[in-house]
Amino acid sequence: MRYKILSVLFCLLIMVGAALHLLLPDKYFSQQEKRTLKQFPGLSWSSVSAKSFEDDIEEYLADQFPLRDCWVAVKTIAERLSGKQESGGVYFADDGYLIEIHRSFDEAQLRQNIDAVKRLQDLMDEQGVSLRFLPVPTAGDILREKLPAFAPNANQRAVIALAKQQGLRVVDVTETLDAHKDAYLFYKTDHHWTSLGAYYVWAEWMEDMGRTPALLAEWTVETLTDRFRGTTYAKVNDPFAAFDTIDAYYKTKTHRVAYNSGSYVTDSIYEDKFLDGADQYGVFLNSNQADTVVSGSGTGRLLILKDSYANCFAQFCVDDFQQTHLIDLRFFRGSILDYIAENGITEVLVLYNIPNFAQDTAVSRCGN
Amino acid sequence: MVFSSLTFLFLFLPAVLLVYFAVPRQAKNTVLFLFSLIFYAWGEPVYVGLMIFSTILDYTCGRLVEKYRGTKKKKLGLIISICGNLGLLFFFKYTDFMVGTVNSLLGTTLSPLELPLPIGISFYTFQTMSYTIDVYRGDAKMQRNIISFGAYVSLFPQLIAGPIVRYRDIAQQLNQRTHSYDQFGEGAKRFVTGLGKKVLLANNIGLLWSTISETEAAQLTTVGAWVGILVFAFQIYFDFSGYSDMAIGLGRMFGFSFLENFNYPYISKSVTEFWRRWHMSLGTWFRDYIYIPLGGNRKGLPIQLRNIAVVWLLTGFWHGASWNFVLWGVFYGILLVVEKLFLLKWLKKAPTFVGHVYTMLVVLLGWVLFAFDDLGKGLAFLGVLFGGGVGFTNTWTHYQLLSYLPLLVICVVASTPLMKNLYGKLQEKCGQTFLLSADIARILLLWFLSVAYLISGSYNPFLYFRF
Repeated sequence: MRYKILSVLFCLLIMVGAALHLLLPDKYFSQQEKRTLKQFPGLSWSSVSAKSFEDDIEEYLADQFPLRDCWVAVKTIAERLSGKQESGGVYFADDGYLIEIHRSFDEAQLRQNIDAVKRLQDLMDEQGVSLRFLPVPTAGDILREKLPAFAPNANQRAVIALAKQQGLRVVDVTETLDAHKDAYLFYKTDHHWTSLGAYYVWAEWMEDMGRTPALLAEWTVETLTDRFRGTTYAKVNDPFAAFDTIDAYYKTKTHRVAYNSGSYVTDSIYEDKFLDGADQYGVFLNSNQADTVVSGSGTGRLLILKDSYANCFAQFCVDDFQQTHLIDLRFFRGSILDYIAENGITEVLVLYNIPNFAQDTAVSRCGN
Repeated sequence: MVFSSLTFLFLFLPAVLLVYFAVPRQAKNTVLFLFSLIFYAWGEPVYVGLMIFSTILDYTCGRLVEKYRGTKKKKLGLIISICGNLGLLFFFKYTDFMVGTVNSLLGTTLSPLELPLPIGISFYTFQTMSYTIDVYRGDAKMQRNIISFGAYVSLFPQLIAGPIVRYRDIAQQLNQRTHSYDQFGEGAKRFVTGLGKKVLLANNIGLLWSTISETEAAQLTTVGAWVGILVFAFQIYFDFSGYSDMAIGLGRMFGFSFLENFNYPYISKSVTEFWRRWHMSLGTWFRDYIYIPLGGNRKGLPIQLRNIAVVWLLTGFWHGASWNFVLWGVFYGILLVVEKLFLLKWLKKAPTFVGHVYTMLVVLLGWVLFAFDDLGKGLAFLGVLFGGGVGFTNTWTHYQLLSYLPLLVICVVASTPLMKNLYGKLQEKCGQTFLLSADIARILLLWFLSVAYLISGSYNPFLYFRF
């Protein structure tokens, strides 16, 4: 009797799985994983003999398995229970923070990038344009106390020290961020910083330029979404992950914004369409564009050479300058020196988060 | 196809079970044969021809042996079978190794064949040889039905990673076997246990071994290297014994009973004992078909030592066409001789922990030889075990150790008979209902976790494919 029950149980387990698989329609796209799912592979002699059919069908079964997202959640829970401190390149840090892992930086690439910014700085000095370098520490540095015990973690402050040592005009924001580390500076489920984090750094930069930054209370704060789950969440698939809130900070909400040499012109730096999609942080300045010009009511022309950290930083700058230009060197193909001359740039800011700056191979194009 | 895949669990297995139990008794071997060929073709469609060739070859050899029994040509079938099987094995597995060796010794530039290794060839050539030898020796009757014989050769449960089933052990079952809920339920339980060992333990602890083995020796710490080789020992044990459990369980479901392949090897108190508990079907094969025919221990110590040397050289070589495996075999050959000569007697007098520590240490060092195809890397790793590398320990080592500690503890417990003994005690004291609930809980837990890992993980390499 005992084994009869076990026999039936086992048959149910494999047959029900198989039957549900056959009966339920296949899906095309996974919201959870933000990717198209594997479809049923065609059977042909060439695919069978090349062994790709074997892999394809296994991938198809895994992708289309009934309740796939639940199974993935079960695995994530099991992994965390089994003591795993990381998954998919993300640390499970305290207080629900999912923090991107950077164990070490490529020293050669880092030095090359610092040298490139130094060359640009020297050229700007000759032309009387002021340039500052603003390397932003990420959650992996500011919130390192929350990381798992013994977790290998690249030293971001050494990057700042090296940049200073090589003669860069560095705006060192570590003290400021450390002082506010208990505030909501970084998203729990995304590798970016929050608008609040960007505000403190912006204020530091303003003071460095000898200007007086507007107080936090002077800004209008509007919550764009409180259901944000970002990149680090997507990497670990943790069903218990928190939801983040994306806030906009502005004084005037409308500005003329021209992307990619004016090929798309709009009246706000906030692209609301991103709030419904997979890349919600993209609401700031239309995700990553090659070049962007925002018109404001201030004086002077600012150029930010940047990665995506600058996208939410820019909301604090746009009113203070006549024009705020942003260039993403990963996509921009022109000459930076020509661009600066043609557009009458008066102030240059090189803003990257530190791990990205250390690794990005496009930074070296900044002196072109 | 491997058992630990969704394709097997949710397509192949339901299909074969439905058809197998639907058809009448006379057709069951045909069903097994056909499904086994599909199972094999899934990974290597071209080599199905090889499997059919092997079937026909040994079927014919068996008939030749029977036909010429008692005549001058009595050895004809035997010789064809042995040459044919070893020829196949040698051609596919060792040609490129020989080409490489000849090239490096003589400075020639012969080009290697670079053929993919037919899956499980080391296992099924040994099985088919055992058939002809058993028939020749009169240990088993000739199989008249080629389909039944084909079912034996290609039997998918043990086709690609054993246990190596001697023909005489299942000759009877091939022709007439019974099916019952008891066997099926027990088999299912065993299968799910094996699945859990492979997917939950071997694959996951294997991740740590990948991390450690891919680190340059100069960057490793001594503690990290010891943890690494311990982890490899667990990975290979749970991988291989898990696979054997699945094979034995599936066999039970189809009415076969295969011999056990593992018996908690890591609790051994000597190397001699270890090899009676590790990959037992291979040991048995070498004992029955090589060691004993060479004279075993009946012809005096020098001959016995020679026989041990031969068997262990072959055992090493069987595991892979690479010098590190030969060295690994020789390493164990020497240890077994030393134990035979005096060490076993000493160990018996010593406290038991001495035996355990000595055996584990030696086995771990053996796994270093086994794990690195590249002897240079293996030696560098050995160096780190004994004080080389970047230091005794560092935070990276601590981090890895901490991340894997719960899994390591589970591995330690699961490689001892602790749970089995506990289960045995429960069986005596508790009622049927309790045992049934325990079994159901165990099957459900292992099943759902394993399937969850298979669905979400792309990391599912199978170690014993190479052999």
